[in-house]
Amino acid sequence: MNTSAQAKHWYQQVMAESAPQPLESQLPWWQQVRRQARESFARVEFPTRKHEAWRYTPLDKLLQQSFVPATRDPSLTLGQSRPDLAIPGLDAYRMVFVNGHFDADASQLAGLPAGVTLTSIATLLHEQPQKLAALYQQLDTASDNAFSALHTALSTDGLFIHVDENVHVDKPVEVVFVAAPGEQAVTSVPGIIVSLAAGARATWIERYTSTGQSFYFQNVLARIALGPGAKLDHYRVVAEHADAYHLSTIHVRQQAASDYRAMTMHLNGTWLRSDWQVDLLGTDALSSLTGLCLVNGSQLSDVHTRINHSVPACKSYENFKSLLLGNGRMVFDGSIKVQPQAQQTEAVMRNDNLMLSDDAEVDTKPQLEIFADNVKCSHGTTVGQLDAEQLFYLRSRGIDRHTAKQMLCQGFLGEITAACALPELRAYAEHAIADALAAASGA
Amino acid sequence: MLSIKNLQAAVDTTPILKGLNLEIGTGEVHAIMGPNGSGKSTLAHVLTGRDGYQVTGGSMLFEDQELAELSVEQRAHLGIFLAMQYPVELPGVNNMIFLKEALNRILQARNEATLDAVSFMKRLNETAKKVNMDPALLKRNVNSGFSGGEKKRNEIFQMALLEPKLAILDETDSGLDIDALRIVSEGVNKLRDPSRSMIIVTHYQRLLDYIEPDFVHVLAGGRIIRSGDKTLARELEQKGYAWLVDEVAA
Repeated sequence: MNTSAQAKHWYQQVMAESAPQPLESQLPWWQQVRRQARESFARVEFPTRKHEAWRYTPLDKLLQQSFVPATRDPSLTLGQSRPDLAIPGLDAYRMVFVNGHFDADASQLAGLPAGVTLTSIATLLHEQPQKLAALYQQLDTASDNAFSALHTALSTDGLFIHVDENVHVDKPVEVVFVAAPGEQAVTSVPGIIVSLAAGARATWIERYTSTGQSFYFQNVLARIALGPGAKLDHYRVVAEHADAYHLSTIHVRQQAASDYRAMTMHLNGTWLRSDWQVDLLGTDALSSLTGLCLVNGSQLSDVHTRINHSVPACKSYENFKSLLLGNGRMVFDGSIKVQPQAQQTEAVMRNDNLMLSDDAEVDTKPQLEIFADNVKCSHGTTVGQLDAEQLFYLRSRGIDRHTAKQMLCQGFLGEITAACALPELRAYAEHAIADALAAASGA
Repeated sequence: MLSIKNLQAAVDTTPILKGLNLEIGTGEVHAIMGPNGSGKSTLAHVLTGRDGYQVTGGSMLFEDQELAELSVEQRAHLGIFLAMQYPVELPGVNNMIFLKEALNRILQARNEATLDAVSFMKRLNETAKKVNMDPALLKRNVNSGFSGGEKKRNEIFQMALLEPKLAILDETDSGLDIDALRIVSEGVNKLRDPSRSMIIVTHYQRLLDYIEPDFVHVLAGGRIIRSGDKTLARELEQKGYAWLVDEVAA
């Protein structure tokens, strides 16, 4: 058996052994969702390099591990005082998930305005299963991909955000997913459902961090639905343990005139992938995906985006920058599809990569498929090294080579963080980048 | 202050400077003129230690220290400043952060106290006033999206802030219209000081109408072929460089 088949066998055993939840017998629809996921998983294989979307994303090491699903362990409850649970100075509603399970004690949801639901999927299953059932009927739960099927087959908890029509959430919602690995390497499978009704607005920060020393596999499946005119500012800070694996699969469905702005920061983890599918379903919608990837040592950072323009007059904007400090690898695979009826589409895609070492690798693949004739679409990608003239300029002003390099690297990534509307988050990100640069050069 | 003896330098493997001699005393302003390709900018870059310029012979002593043995930043710490011909844009690098870092490194090297945020801002505003720098430019990223004139003014501003002992102005007049040239020159004149020497590298005499040099040198073929006072610059403006080059060759 090859690695992929062994992994599949392992997870099927895990699924068979995991006890059915007591709830399942009472909730046939939920039982069915999970059963379908198990069946899908049995049908599909883990991707290989022959799959175009996984061509540059090595899976061998991930699939060689025998992760077990993280269970709700009460001893893992974190105190409120843990400093890295909150971005310093940021006034926000805060939810904490430990190994993918909601930790109410560490969360702060007081003062939430009417019309805003912030809760966990497990809580909803217990308290309002009908509401979740209704949502699941709208969601596309078919899992044609082994990782999504694996997620759905194992996931029993996660984040649920719903904002009623025309309600504006007054403070950012900061959601921290903490990995607290124990003796056995675990896979956390938090589900995420974020739905904003027509005219609703929210700012959501999705952060990943860890407490433990050992590695783990975070397998996240997020579904975001924006109603007509809804606006979501979505910040993602992926700062996993340096040996951890992280996969986020993000489906975004946007109705007319909705506005989705995502800023992703891949800061740490041995294997990180963010995989977007954005469907622009109503006219005049805007989708902006930006991000920075800090690739330390031999890490892999992977950004896949698929934006589907299926109606007229939508805009999509992508800008990702990566900084490779060591012999790691950056993969950018961005695809924009403009359907025949999607006239007056505007789409811009950029990917710039800066390599500090000759041993790094960048695989960048912008793809535009345009079937409409009245559109404005462009893409550009660069792979380069630090500019000798810029270095000389800084050094000629008395700044040593090492600091000059750091300033240029921070400046390169700073063009992304400059657009962050939350000063506290921006400062947090800039510190994290500075720390990583300092650590990388000290090594 | 600066004593250059028989300096030879190459770019890649092409010899450019072929035995250059130049003595610059404290507080003196020297203009280096010469035809294109004579080695004027090479001299500016060799003095500041830019990569790609190899010193192949001779010496350049700055206050009795051999510059060739020092890194780019060490030379800046000694008080050497180069106002660049083409100041490079630094996207994402904030001017304030850059200037504070530069100033504090130089103060540190001089064994002077570094400035905290408050005293730095005070110094910054005073300096901006002194050389008529628009403070709005200081809040932007270094030279990013600046016009040609704004870039040159930013160079002069940095010179005012860092207070070098030796300022080298490399073709500061290039790309400037008359108004910008006047403003930049006024800034330079305000920075003339008995303790500060300047080397003004220029192709044209017009900059020297605004900044009067104490000495004028003509650089051709990698050597200084004639030295004189400011009247030499006028003579060159009228006659061009060819007569002088021919005369020396004869």
